[in-house]
Amino acid sequence: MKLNIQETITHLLAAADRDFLEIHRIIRGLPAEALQHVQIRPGKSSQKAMIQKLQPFLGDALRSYQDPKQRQFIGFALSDEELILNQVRRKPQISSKKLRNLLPMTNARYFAALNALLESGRLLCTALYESHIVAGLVCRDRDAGGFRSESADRGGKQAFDKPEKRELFRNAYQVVGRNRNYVLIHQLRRYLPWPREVFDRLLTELSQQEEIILQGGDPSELTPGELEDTFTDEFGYLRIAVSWRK
Amino acid sequence: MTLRQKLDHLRKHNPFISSSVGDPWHHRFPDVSDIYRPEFLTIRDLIDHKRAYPAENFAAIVTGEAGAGKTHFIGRILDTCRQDPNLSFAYIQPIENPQQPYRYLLREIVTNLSRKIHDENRFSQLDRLLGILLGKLMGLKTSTKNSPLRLETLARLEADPFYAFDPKFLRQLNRQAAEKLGTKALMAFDSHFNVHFLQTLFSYQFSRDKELPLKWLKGFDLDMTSLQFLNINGADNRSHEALEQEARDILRSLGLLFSYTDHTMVLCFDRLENLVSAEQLKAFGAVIEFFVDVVPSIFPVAFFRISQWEQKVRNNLNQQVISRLETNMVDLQGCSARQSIEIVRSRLQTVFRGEEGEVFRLIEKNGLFEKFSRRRFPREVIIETNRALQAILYGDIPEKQVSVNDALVQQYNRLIQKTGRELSSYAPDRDRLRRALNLYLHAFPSDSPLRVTPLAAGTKTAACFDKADATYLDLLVEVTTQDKKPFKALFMIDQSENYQTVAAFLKRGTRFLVNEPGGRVFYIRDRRSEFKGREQWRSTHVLLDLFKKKGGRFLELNKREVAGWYALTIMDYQLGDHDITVTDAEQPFREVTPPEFMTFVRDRLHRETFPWFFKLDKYLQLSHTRVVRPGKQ
Repeated sequence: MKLNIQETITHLLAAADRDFLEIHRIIRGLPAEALQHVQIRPGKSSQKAMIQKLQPFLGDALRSYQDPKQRQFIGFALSDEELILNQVRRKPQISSKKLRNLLPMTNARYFAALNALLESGRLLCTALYESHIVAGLVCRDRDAGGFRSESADRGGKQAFDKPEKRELFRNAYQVVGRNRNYVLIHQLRRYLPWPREVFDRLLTELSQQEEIILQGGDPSELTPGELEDTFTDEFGYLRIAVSWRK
Repeated sequence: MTLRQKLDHLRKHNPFISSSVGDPWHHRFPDVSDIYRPEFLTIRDLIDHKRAYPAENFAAIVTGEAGAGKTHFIGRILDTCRQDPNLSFAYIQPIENPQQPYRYLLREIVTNLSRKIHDENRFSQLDRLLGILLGKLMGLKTSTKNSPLRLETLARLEADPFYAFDPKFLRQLNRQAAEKLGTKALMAFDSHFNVHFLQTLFSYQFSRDKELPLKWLKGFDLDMTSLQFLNINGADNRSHEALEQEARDILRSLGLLFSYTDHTMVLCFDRLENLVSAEQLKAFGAVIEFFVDVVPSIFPVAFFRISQWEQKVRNNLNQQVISRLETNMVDLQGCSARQSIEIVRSRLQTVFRGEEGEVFRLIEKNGLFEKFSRRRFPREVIIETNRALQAILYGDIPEKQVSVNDALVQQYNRLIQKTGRELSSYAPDRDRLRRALNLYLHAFPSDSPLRVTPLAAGTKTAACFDKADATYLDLLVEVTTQDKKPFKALFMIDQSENYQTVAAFLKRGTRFLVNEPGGRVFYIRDRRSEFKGREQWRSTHVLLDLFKKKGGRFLELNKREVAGWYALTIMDYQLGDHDITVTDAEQPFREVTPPEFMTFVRDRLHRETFPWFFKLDKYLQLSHTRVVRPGKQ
């Protein structure tokens, strides 16, 4: 039964493509016999009591969270930094204020984790509102917090089918290229947290639709690692940079 | 012609073998004008704007990846200039020596101006400019002297500026009168005209021997006799700084002359990837500023690979230059599917002249055009077509794999022939010869007993060179052979036609040989830079004899040898431009890397098949005893 509860919660999280879910959504997703086994009565037990009863069944992969309004959540066992990075990946260019409202942690922990990420360079601030709220947070490192590649892959594929993927690509192009019309592919690839094939497919599609130009560039300027993150088109030509078609 | 005959013909005359343009002045494949039409119109409008407002400060930059068609685009600008009598054109390759950018530019611009506008016509751009100038000057002579003959001459000059070189015209207007009238009118137009420039210009117009005035206009260092012949006094034996300043003055005067004659020059800077050092980039920035801010009627357009511009160059130029260039920026982004197919058709037309339909359909059937389903760069289109054609022509015969070294030897030999044919467009150039020398001496094959280590500039030698000598020394190396004591070797390259400069070279060489026992000295000249005979340069020949007696080697490169040296430098430019490609089993085409190129230089050029270089090896290997030691003559 212990395994079943943990597995069920993991499936619920993966299906929702979230790192954590409110406790009542978790309870709604659990089968009646599991609830009976842990002696939870939906609607009658308090959120805190429900968490206490589920705690022994969460294992190492899951944990409980609480936000400043005392609301309870269950999610993957992640550090505060990882929670922030995953949210920013899902919503590039998000403001610090909106980001804060999405995370189940105290203000103090949020600030500490955010500052640590900015300091380490894993997170970049690209814009400010007039009120000086930090806006436009973006992830810099594709691999940072890449703890859940399977889910991320699926997320990537799902998002690829949506038109906003192109929008994300365009935004990334502007951020990485600092508004120049020439961006190195390896930098773009490292910036966007997408699986290789998703990124390559989008490049091919945009190029076929003549929205972008794939440039040959100068491979001798790149390190072997950077060269690996470039792109070879279907005709065997090495492309190291991309320009938006004018 | 049957299809089989056509394919046979194609084996011998394949128009897809070369995907690189080289020098736009020379033969190019026909232009598909639809490609980059908006980009070209942008540049065309800027040229028109410059003509309307000659003093307005602007330049332009055209970017495009390797194979995007930058040099072909320059060719299209050249074609426009050929057709428009009010436009001149100059194609400038990278500045080699950042200490003398203006002399280099002056030489290249005048070399371009003195080229024939059309192959079938003997007149140059400079002739056309002078014709227009003389027409304008004659028009100033209002007066009672409006004889029917004068009016007829004016009308003829207006219709055909080259009439200014007709003997009839030359009989009508003598040099003194033209020079007096011209100098007065031009100095009244702008007092910044260089007087020597005007004198030499008229001397070119009226002399039978046009070579000497042209040499002066190109900034050559001439001796007293030549300067006296040109009626230029007090201008001999000048420092490099003074020559640079003079070059600046002449360039400015040239701009003013364009302005006076309502003429515009388009200055295309190409192969700029070869500007590698900070000094070269700084010099490039300085000349761009000079042409934009000081010289009227000259419109500079810089052509860069976009990667190079964005990754390297842009961050190393001052903001003023960047803004000057980027205000008018054009990016060449490849051609559409239809345009790609048009490239194929137009190249086939050059071979079959309207009867290419069958071959075209055969290529189409081969599935080639499916590869053009998105924007491709012209070079890719040509390479893909060549591959498709190879499959059609030699389908049953397994593709012969050519090693990179062999492919480079073939390309080098082709380039030598081409350079030799077009040697007039490569004026004697010490910096390019130096580049070839450095490349050649960079490494020796494993079976050679020689090893050469370049010594840093300023290395102390027994010859005790000081700062003033630096400009005369091109390369100082230490040579080690298998069983002999290491010795130093000095290489000096000279293009001067001034006996004082030549004497200074020879004296330094002799001093080196006297003070460095066992040392070797090479004094290298392009034979086209005149080394006058014993009668004219008696004392210089005495110095030369002494230099030779002490063991110095005088290498006077003939045309074939010079072509071999320049071809190596040009090939190195092409390498920097990513223009040298080979095909291998893994990639349809790939660029040759610098280490591969250096392997070719090391393993292939140090052979007797290339005597213009190999003679250096031979002389370095000569037994010391054959060199006369000081005090033992």
